[in-house]
Amino acid sequence: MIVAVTLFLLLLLLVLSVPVAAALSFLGLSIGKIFSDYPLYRAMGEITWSASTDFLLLSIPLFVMLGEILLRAGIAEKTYNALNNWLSWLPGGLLQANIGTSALFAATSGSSVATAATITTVALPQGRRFHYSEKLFTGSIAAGGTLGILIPPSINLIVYGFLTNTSIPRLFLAGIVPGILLAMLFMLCLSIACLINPSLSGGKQEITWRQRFICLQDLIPVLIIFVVVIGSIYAGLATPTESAALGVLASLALALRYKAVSIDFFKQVFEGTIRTSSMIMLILISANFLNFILDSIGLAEMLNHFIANLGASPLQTLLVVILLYIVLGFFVETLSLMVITIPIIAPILISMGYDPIWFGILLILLIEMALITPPVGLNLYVVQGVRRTGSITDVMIGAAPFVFMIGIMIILLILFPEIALYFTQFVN
Amino acid sequence: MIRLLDKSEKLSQVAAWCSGLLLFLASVMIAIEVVLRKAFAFSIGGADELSSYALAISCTWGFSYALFRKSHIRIDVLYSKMPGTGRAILDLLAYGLLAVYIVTLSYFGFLVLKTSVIKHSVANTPLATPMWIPQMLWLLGLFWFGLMIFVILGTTCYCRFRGNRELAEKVAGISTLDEEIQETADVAITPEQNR
Amino acid sequence: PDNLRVVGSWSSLTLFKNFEKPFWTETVPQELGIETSMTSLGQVKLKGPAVVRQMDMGVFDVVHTVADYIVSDSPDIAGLDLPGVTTDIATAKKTVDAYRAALAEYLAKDFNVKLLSVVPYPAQVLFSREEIGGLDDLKGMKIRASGWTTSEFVTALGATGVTMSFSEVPQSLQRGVVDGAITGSLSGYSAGWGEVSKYIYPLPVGGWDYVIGVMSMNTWEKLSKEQQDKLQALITDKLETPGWAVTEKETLEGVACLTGKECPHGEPQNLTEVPVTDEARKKVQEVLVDSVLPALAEKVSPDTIATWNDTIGKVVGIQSK
Ligand code: NA
Ligand code: NA
Repeated sequence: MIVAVTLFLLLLLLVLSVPVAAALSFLGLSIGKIFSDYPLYRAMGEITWSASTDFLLLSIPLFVMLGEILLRAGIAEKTYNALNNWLSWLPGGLLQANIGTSALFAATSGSSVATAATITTVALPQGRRFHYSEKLFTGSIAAGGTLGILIPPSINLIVYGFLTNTSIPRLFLAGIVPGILLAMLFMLCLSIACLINPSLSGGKQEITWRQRFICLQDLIPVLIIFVVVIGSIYAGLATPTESAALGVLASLALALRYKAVSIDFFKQVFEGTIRTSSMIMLILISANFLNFILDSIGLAEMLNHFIANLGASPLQTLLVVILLYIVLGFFVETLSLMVITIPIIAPILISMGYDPIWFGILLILLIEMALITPPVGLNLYVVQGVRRTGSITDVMIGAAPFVFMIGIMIILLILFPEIALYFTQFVN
Repeated sequence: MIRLLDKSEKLSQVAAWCSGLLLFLASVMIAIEVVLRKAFAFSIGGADELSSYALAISCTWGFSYALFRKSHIRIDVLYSKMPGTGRAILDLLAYGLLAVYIVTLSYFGFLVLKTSVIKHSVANTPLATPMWIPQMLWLLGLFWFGLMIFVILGTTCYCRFRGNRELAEKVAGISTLDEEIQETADVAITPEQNR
Repeated sequence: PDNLRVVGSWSSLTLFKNFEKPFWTETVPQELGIETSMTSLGQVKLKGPAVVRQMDMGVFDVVHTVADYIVSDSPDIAGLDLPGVTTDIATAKKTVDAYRAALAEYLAKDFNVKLLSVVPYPAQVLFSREEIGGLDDLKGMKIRASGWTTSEFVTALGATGVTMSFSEVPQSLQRGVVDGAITGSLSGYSAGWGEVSKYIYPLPVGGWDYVIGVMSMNTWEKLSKEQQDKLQALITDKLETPGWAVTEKETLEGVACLTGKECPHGEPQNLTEVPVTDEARKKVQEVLVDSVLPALAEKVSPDTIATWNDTIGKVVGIQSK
C-alpha cells in the first residue's frame, strides 16, 4: 500500500514537471502525513540544516568549481593535441584521442557533463579538419565524457556515498580500474570499427617522435591536478573535501599560468559553479528529507519483506534492478534517478550481501549508460550543444556502440567483482 | 512588474557571485589548513567547521540564481507534448509547489534559528561558534529564494492577465532543448573568447 | 501512548546491538504492551543536538545519544563527563550516581525530556603513532579530540587539539595528519585504529563518552505511574546495569585486542601499552583543576559549579575554585 502510494505520487509529481527537489520534499511531506501518526515534517528544518552543513557535501561545489576553472582556462586543447600525437597510430586516430583525453580529463573532473563539454570544444574542429565520420566522432566524445563520473574524482560517487554512508576514498579507488578498463573497451571498439570500415576514420597525420616527446609537457597540467586531487587523498594528506579545495587552488594556479584570470573569469566561474551546485544541493537536501521520512515509516523493511516473500534469489533481484535502471535510464535525468532510487534500492541489495562499494560502481556504470541513451541523455545534448549543426540523432547513433561496451563492462563487473574491489582492501 | 523581475534577477546574480566567492574563500581556508597541518605541524583549527557553514549559506543564496537560469531540474516528458494552456497550468503548479516547499522549509528553518537563540546554542568545538550567526545567514538566503519564487509567480500571472503569453512562458517555462543547447554552447565556447 | 518512536545510539556498537535494540523492540512490547519502532543516530542523520531538539516537537519519543553531542544546547551537561575526573569505571559509576539528579534537572529544563539511563561507551583512551612514555610526551603532538572539554585537556598538556569526524581518523593516523587520537578502546579496535597506530595509553583521558537515554516529557507524562515505575525499573535492570558491565568488559577487551593478548573480537593487534603511573593519574587531575574546570566555570553559572562540587567533586575529592 505505502509502496504503491509512494510510487504513484512520485510519478505523478514528476510527470507534471514539478521541479524534482520540490517533488521529493512534497512527496516526503505527504507520505509522512498519511502514513505516520508522528509530526515527522517538523524535523524538516533541522534535517536540512544538518545536511547543508555536511563537510563531505562541500566537496560537490568545490569539484564543480574546479571543473569550471579548468574549462575556462583552456587547458584541454593542448592535452588533446598531445594525446593525439601519441594515439593517432591506432586505427581511428583522433577518435582514440577523444577517448584518451576524456579518460585523462575524467581524472580531474567530477562530472560527465563538464568532461564532455570540454572535450567537444577542443576536438570537434580537429575532427572536421580531418574529415572524420561525424556520427562516430561525436558519439565517441559523448561516451568518453561519461568516464568523468567513474574515474575519480566523481560527484556522483559522492552523492552515492552520502546517501548510503559509504566511504568516499574507497569508492573513488574502486572506480579507477573499471574506469581504465572501460576506456580500453571504448578504444578497442573504435579500433575494430575502423578496421572493418576505414571510412569512419579520417585523414592520416604524420607525427615524428620529436613532436611526440615535445608535447609530453602539455600533459603536465592535467597530471598536476590529478596528483593534487587524487594523490592527496591516498597519500593521506587530505579528505575528499580537502582534496577538492586543493584542486580548486591548483587549477587556479594553472589558469594564472595560462593568463586566463580576470574579474570576468571569476564572475563566470562563480556563476557556473552556483548554477550547477545549487541545483545539485537543493535536490540532495530534499532527497535527504525524503530519506528520513521513508526510513521513519519503514519503507525499506517493507520492500525487503516483499522481496523475501517473492522468494527471489540475490542474483535475480540484481538482474531486475539492472533492468530497471536501464529502462528508467532512457527517460529520467540521471541525478534525479540516483537520489530517488538509491535510498530504496541500495539497502535491499546490501542486505542481500552485495558489497556497497561494488554496487556503487555498478550503479555508476548504469548511470553512464543512461547519460548516452536517448531520448533523455544529458551527454548527447551537451555534445550536440557545442556542435550546433546537424541532428542530435547523429550523436545518438554514434554513441550506440559504446552503450554496448558499457553493457559488457557491467557483465565483467558482475562476473569479476575484484575489478572494483581488489584495491579497496588496502584503504581504511 | 517586469522591472521588478529584472531587478530581482540582477540581485540574484550578485548573490551568486558572493556565494561563489564564499565557496572560493572556504577552499582557500581549507587548503591553507591542509598545508599548514602537513608541512608545519600547525593547525588553525575550525576550517572544516567554518567552511561547512559557508556551504549552507552559499547554497540558499545561490538557489535563486539557479532558478532564474532554469537550472532546477523539471522532467518534461508530458510538458513538451502539451499545448500552451496546459503548459501554463503546469508552470503554475511547478512554481506553486516549489513555493509550498520553500515556505515550509523557511518556517521550520526559522524554528531552528529560534531554538538556537533561545538556548544560546554554541557549537561544541574549539571555535565555540554561536549557532545563530550561520543559521541566520542561511535562513535569510532561504527567505530570499522564497521571495524570488513569488516574484516569478507574480510576474507570470501578471503577464497572463495582460495576455503576454510569450513573456510568461519565458519567465516560468522549462528551458527547451534549444535553450539548453545554447546554454552549454555558451559555456563551452568561452575559453576561446578568453584567449 | 500505544506506540513509541525510538532512536538508538550508534548501531554498529554493542550498546545498541545487545541492549538498546532488544530492550525497545522486545522487552518493552512484551512487558509494557507498547509497540515501538526503532532507528539509530546514523540513520536519522540529525547532527549534534538536533535529534534531541526534535523530541519536544513530537518527532521522537525516546532518544539515546552521546551527552557530548547535546552540550552545545545545554552547557551545564558538560560537567557529567570532564576528562580526567575518574580513571577507573567503579569511581565513574559513583560520580554518575551522584550527578544523576542534577543531570535530570538540566535535561528537563533545557530539552523538556526525562532522563532514563546513563551508560558509558568503553573508556576514551589515547591511540598514538609516535612513541610515548607518558603524558609529558604529548607535548607538540596533534591529537584528534572531539568536544571542547577534551580539546581543552590536550591543549593544557601542550598538544594541539584537532577536530575531524570519526571515519576520517584511521587514514589521518596512518599518514600522520594527526599523531594521536582519542576514542573508546574497543571502538578504536573495531574501526581499525590499531592497524595505523603503535602505542596505546589506556588512561581514560577523554572521559567516558556517556550515552544518555531520554524520553520526551510529554510522552513520559502520558504513561501511568505504574508504567513509569516499571519502565524505569526495567531500564535499570536490562539496559543500564548490564550496559555498565559490558563497558567494563569491553574496555579491557579492547586494550587486550590492541596489545596482542586474547581477543574475542578478531585478530589481535600489536600495539605497545604505555604503563599508567600514579604520577600520571595525579597529573591528569592537576590539569583538570588548573585548566578544564576553570574553562567550564566560564561557560556555566556558579550554581552549576556549586552543584558539581557537591556531587562529582565530593566523590573524587576535587573542588573547583
Ligand atoms: Na572524474
Ligand atoms: Na538516457
